[in-house]
Amino acid sequence: MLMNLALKSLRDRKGSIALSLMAMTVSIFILLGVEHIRHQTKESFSNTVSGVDLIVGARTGSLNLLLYSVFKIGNPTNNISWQSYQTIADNPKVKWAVPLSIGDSHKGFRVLGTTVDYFQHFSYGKKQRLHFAKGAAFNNVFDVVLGAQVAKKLGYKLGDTLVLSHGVAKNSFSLHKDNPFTVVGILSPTGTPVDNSLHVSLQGIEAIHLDGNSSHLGHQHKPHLHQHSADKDHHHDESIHVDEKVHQDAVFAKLQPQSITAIMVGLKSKITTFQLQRQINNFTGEAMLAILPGIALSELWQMMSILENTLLLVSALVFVSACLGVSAMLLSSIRERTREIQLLRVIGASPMFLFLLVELEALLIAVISIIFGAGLLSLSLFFAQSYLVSYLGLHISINIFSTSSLYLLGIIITASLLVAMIPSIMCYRQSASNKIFL
Amino acid sequence: MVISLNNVCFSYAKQSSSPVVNIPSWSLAEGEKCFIHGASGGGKSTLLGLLSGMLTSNTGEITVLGERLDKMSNRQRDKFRADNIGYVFQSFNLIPFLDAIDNIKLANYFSKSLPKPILQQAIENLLTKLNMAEKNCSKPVRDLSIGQQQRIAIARALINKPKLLIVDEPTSSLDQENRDAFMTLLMSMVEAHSISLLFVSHDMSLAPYFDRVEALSSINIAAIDALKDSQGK
Repeated sequence: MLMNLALKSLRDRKGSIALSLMAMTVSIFILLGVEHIRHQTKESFSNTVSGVDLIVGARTGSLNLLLYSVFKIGNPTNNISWQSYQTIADNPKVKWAVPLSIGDSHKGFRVLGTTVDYFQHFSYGKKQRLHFAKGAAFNNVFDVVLGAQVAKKLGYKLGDTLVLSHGVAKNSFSLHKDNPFTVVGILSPTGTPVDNSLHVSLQGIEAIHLDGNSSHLGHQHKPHLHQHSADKDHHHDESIHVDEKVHQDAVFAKLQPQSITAIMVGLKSKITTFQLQRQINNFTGEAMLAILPGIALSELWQMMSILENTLLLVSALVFVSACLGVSAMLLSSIRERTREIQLLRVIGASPMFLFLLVELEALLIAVISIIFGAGLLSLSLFFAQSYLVSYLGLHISINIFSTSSLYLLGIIITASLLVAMIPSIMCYRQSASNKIFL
Repeated sequence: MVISLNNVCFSYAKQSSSPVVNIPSWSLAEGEKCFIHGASGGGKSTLLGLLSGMLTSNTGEITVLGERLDKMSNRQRDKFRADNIGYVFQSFNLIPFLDAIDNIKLANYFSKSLPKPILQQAIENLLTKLNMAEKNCSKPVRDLSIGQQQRIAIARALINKPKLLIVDEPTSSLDQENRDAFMTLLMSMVEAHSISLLFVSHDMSLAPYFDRVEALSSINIAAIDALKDSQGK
């Protein structure tokens, strides 16, 4: 009965209730949104890289190195030489070292130059390895492996050819039409910037940058990345075109990269991490920086936490003001409903019933606003998701209900009930007063 | 006795020297239909508030249906009122956005005199007796005429089978025709349920319906004092 009365009473005051609902909906949308995106960003960032012990790059800020090497945000300031890579890769503490070459793009998607080892050693999330949805790793200079989003957005299939350009702008001028790459593999979605990357060999990167005499590297003469014994699939190539093999080796030597952007390093033993980090940072041959991804990430959180907390504070204040708005609306409604309160008292309602009636109205407004706010947020995320993935490399889940958001909803309901105490107590006092009968 | 008042004194301000209600002694017998007439400002609403337990007297004894209202807690008085006293006002007898049936159910909710399964049937019977068309029973009562609303008000007041019905100027917003119809209906319902009736109005033309007629000023001596005070100044 209390519920029925509260619902019908709210429905009866559609106009003012609708406005209060809107204010509450918007505030809950903001609050849930900030909380959700805050958590998802952290999760998305933390999930981007795992199993990598050190990231090595030219000497720069550790955050800068992390952002451009892993998140593909910003541009590398400097490269490191191939010799330095060799030195690090040959270090006995190092289990594997994957070179990365960054700085090129294809239709707004970043191109990553690396080696086949990348697909074996790079992992994300909870140490999940990269999987090929279709095809396999690149094998030739002009092979390319696409991230899931790249393939989906640009509609590429295995065997398609595409042109890679120098620079990262979406409409790059220096297209090399004579060096088309062939899609040989498409990765499964990971929810990380890998989805938005095109992966080619380091030699492929060099080929993009070769000018003038690149014509004889045309795809009829696809040179092998590996030495002839390494690959069984192309065994017949060698037997048939012996002189081409010689040519390939020449091309290969020509395409040997002089410098790379960064190195991902895996160690044999985690205990040596700091030791090797110090060793690299003090490397005399070249100014280099080695970072631990986890530590660099926590530096990032520290920097972000001020922004995060400010956002959260602002959204909390927006919510409190919406709650106060609802209470003001309820308070003025109590003035209008003096006769109704009197009637309820005469037919036997206790002042407590009237207190609960007003609280229940506030609760209903909060719950309806939560439903609207959460719905609106899910809908917005649904539409913003692909944008966030393709432009920021952020994978934000549409499911906004997590432990922390449920906790937040608890706080929202408690806060709205607490603020609604003001009109409820007024209603209680008014209904208990003997002036009600006049 | 249904109502028995003894030296009842009430004022809104505490420790006031001029009470609004001061009744040395007054009572209403079982089955009696009493008409009290008086101009507004004579302490009429206050008296009804005291009898229904909405207000508590400063001093004196108020006994309704054998129970001392002045000795009850607030909660007990609310429950007692819901169970035993029907009340019809001049206007605003019903929650305007609820329909007739919900309004009556609401009155039953506070008393719980009838169990749910038979409640619906009891309400329908009552509304039929009061000549309410079925289609009007599910409309919000604000869409009904005042005459219809006052009839639903009777049904709402009677649903918990009260032993005392207090009626406060129920006809002042009705025209002559509706007023007579309302009075006839009210009296027949009171007879049928053998309820004691306390009816307050300034309209002396209604007096023939009752077996006992009293002036408020002869019951409440505070009204006389107030009159004297104003003349003295």
